[in-house]
Amino acid sequence: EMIRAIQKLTLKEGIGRFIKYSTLEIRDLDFFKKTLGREDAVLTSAVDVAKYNEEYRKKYFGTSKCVLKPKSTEEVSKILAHCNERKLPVVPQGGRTSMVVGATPLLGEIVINLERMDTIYELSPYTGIIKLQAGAILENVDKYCKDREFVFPLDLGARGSCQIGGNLSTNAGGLHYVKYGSLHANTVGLIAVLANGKILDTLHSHRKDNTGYDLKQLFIGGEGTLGIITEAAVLCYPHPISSSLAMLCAKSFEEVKGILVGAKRKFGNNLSAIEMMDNHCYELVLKNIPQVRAPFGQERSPYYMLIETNHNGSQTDSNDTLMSFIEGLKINNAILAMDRAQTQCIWQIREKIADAFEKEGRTFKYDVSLNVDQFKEIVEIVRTRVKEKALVGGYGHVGDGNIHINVTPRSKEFINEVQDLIEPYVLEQVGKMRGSISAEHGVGYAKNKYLHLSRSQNCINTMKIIKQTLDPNGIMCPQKIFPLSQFGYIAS
Amino acid sequence: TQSTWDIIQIRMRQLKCLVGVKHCLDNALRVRVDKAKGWVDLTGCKMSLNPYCEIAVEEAVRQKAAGVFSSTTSLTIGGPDAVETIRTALAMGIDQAIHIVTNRATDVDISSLIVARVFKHFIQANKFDVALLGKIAIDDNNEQTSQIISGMLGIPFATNANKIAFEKEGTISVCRETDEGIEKIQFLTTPAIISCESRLNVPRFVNIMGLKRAKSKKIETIKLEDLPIDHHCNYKITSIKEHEKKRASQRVELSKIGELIKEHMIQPIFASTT
Repeated sequence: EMIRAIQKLTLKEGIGRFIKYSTLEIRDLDFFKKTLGREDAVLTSAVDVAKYNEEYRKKYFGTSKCVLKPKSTEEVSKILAHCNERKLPVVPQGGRTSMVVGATPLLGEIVINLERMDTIYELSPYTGIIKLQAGAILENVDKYCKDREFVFPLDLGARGSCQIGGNLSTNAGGLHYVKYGSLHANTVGLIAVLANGKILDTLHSHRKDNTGYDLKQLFIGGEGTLGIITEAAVLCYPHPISSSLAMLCAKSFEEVKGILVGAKRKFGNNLSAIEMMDNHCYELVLKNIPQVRAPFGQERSPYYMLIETNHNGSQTDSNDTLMSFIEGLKINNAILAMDRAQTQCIWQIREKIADAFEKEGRTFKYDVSLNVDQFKEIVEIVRTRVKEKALVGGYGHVGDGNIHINVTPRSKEFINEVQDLIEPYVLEQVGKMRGSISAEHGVGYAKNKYLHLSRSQNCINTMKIIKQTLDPNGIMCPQKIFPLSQFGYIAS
Repeated sequence: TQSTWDIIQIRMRQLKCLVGVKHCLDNALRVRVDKAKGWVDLTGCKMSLNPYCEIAVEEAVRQKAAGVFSSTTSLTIGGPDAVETIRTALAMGIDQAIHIVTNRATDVDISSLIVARVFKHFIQANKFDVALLGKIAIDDNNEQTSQIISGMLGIPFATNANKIAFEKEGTISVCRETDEGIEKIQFLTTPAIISCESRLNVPRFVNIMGLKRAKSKKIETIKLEDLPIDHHCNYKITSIKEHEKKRASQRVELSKIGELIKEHMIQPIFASTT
């Protein structure tokens, strides 16, 4: 009867699957050990596996009992073929820096971590296309490119631990999105392994290739639900000859909008980053992050902006161009970074906002896309909703139309109350404003109930059809993007 | 006898300050030794203000704002591209700058003796009361310029200052950081030399008003060869190479330490000389 009830639920829209997973057995472990060839590529003891079960904010805990670390695409293919046949759920994993619980094995799935696949093959000086394995850490890739005077089109705060495979599967945005665009645009090819072990090889080094459906786009942003990306070819850009970073105070949101328009017009493609934060974020960073030094002394301003520009001339020319732009805006409170250490210091003020909020207490984070006019509106809506019970700060990639809103209850008693007030209220408001409920962080597990707020039912149904076709047994990342209630699930 | 007015004038006399500013490799960059040449090639590398000089500049600007200094002047020895760093110092608030131009590499070809001679020349010629220098330059790591200047001039000096106070009576108190603790020194006469430690202050960021004003501030340019000093370096650095890679450390169980000592013939630290 229970089975019939679940079947009824899943087949409500005529789309749904009834899935029965198996549990891990000794013969599976033997198979993995034989395929991967090394003892330390298959981790089963509680001590070894603990690290891979961790989640970024320590709010959820995975229950995986087996971690596999393959070294090549063929090994991944054999593992997945076996898991598909045996109906064992898996979760591909990289640096575990997901903001939406995308890599945590909440149902005890087998973890396939690509950390041993970190080879960078080559970077062509003519095209700038870099070929690498998906387990390469972003910071190492960035260094490799810089040594050859190129720059990887993605840069984000978690660069020390996140892997390229994870970046690709979440279509990560990053700090320089306004200049380089998304990974959808910059990925030239990739190798992905489907759930049944078949290898889809679209890895080549040609930017233009209109031969049939562009399958790689399914996996970029697919969050591992359709297949595992094992190798990729990404377009890199020549490293800017000089760059300048300035931080300035804006007296109102109108001024922020004016600066945004002016900067895009004046610098065009040379505008490599433009970020905004409000005074609540600024104060918290100064208060909670010890190594940051206050750029404006004791003065406070309602909004702050960071502008980074590139130039093809000397450092002095770059600084002068940026300074003359700021002078033209009649802003008199602005600072310029004069060396690398100051540049890093100013970026820390922006990159550590999330950490500063976390230090105050449990933080609810929203990452949404809206029209720039609506940025102020949404933060006001949230602030009015929680009144004095929580700290609210708005900041983000104003150049990309992407704002982050952090809400931290002022004390532990308020946590449940604030949670009821804002979830799902905030995302519903964003849906009403026709914004995106997840601009760059993805859906994962944390937002899988809210997809309908930004996507029409037809879109979601089509996504489910694709999921069922490519992964009929539902072994890839169960619960991510689509909640389990939409695919029936029983564990044996 | 001096009238009361003269005494007040002497006590309230503001001091003239000279600040050392060095243009060197950006502190955040990793130094690369060209193995083929056996040299550090700085062409094309990003250069900036030596962080300890930045602290000296910040201190000078603060004391000028507090009314202790009447004027602040920076002194830089470097190539034509050192103007960028001089402008940074001017933008932070220094009043004027002296730029000693040379095409020689300031990290290997200009010894501390030469730098000290240049400083001595200007302290005597322009009658500076206080010279603030960074304690060390992060490229050559010599850490001896301020000491040599004081020796040449026979004037008091204090290194590694983490606090400087200018008293009303005209004395200068300096707290020095040493391995044994904080040492307090009082200077009773000027001129005096103080070299600055990292805990003296946190330098300010350059702001747009400062940059605008810096454009109109005076930079006096003089060639090194035109100064009446001996500018020959009395030594020559023949090659530079990187440290050998350190052996990786291993974790050892306590019981196995005896074997390890025997195996690697580790000598105990305090050995007798017999």
